Amino acid sequence: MARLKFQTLTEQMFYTLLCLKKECYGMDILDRVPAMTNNRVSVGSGTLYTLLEQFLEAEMIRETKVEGRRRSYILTEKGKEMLEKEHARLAAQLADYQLIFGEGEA
Amino acid sequence: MKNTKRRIETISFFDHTGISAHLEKMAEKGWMIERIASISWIYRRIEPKKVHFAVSYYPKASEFDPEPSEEQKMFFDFCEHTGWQLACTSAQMQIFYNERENPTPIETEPELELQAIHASAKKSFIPPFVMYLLLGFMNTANLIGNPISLLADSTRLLTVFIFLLLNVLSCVELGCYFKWYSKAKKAAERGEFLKTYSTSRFQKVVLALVAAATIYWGVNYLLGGSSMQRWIVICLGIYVPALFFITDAVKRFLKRKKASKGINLAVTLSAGCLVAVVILGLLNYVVLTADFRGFFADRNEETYEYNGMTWVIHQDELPLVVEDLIDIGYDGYIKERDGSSSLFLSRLKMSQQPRFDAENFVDIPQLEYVLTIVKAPALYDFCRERLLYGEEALHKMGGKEFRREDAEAWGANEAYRLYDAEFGAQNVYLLCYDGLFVEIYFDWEPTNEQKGIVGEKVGGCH
Repeated sequence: MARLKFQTLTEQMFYTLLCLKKECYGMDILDRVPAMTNNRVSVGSGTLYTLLEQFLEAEMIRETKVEGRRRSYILTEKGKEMLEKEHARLAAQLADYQLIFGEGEA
Repeated sequence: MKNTKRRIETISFFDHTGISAHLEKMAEKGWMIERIASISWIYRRIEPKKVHFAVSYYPKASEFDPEPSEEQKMFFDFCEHTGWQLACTSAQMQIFYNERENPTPIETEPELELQAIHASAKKSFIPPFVMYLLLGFMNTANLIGNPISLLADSTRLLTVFIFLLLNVLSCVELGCYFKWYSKAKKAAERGEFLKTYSTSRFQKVVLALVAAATIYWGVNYLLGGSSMQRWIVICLGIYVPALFFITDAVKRFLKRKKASKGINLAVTLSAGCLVAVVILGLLNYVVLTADFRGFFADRNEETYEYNGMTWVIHQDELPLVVEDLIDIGYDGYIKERDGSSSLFLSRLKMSQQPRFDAENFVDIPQLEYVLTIVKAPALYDFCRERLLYGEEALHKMGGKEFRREDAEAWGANEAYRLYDAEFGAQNVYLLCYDGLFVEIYFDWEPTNEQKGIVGEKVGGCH
């Protein structure tokens, strides 16, 4: 079934938003996500560009600085809510797993 | 040694995996894509190397943008940061290359990539093919209205053939795209990418068929056609490439001059229409005027003036003439042979008429007949049906029909005479011989002896 837009976040959406807890240049996210995830997750340049555009449109982030083509962004309240919601969803999943398999096996 | 190369590529707009793989092979051979023109892709020579290519789609871009927008340049910056250098753009398509060993792909979210491809396809891929389909159906329907004339005319056959191929191509391209799109959508929901479908082989076959048919038509006309037909081939040979060249040149010139997207689009489209309609109209006018003034006529042909117009006194060789049938003291006949021919059929109209300035014009017997020579035997029955019942179908209101009569007198396999509901029997006959049909119009009621002469003279004309 098709995922409703931003009802749940993909890993790449999740980490992009996470990077924007603090003001950050869009392009820097390309390096930060792999660094943050020990190279487990990377975001493609085209994908990041589109995500930033869509997050802006959905008011999940806002532009803070425009220096020519270099732009920086920060998470908005709505964006934080989305992250928290995703965090709660993932935490619930983890809790369910632990309930079944126990803490030690997690 | 040439440092640039032009190639006609047969890769669909949406086939980004096919485009990347092809460009990687070209780079390995020492050719880097530089520009995509209207009909060819232009490459520049480089040191052969292994590079990765990726095609990304930017739906907001247009083929008529004077230069990439600031937002699009930001996209390029993002790509450059991960090692992806811009090779070229064409409308919404952006082609990048990367010399790193294992670069992060430009698109890592299948759903977002698919959205961009579909939004771009709606602008640059789907509308032209829908237009080709409509144009193809309209033209084909128009041209196949009279199939016998069509089958005997290689120019019209070529046109129908090309439009039919265009129809098939459009169906295949659109079908493949939508099939891929629907499957790719499902794959994207699972977080997977789906390789695009390639129609490259099919496009190559279509291209080869169009080229072969056009060359056959052109060579036939150049070598065996009339002077007018030769000129038509030459004019079309200049006109069609000029159409692509001029529109592409106008678009590029306006881009260089930084004209806005709207102005570029309007001017390029106008230039295209101007070249397509006005110049073609002009060529038609020139050819017709030249023909009217006798430019294509045989230099030895005599002419006469009547009613302020110049008329050619054709003296073509005809298999059957009035003099074969009746004794007549008039020798000022104009004998004209006209028609067209193709691989399948020949349709030749022979007419023998007195000059318009003849004293007793209406009393001088005339003769006209059309030979349909069937070169492809499989078409014989089809032609018979069309000639026999086509008349009835075409003139249903007039109540005309062919009725069978004695074929032996004509030395034919079958013979028919035209009957008009109002005026009765007409001196119009349809005669069927082996591989040949003769539609003959007399000025008088032919005798059995004359019928025999007709059979003798034209019955073996195939």
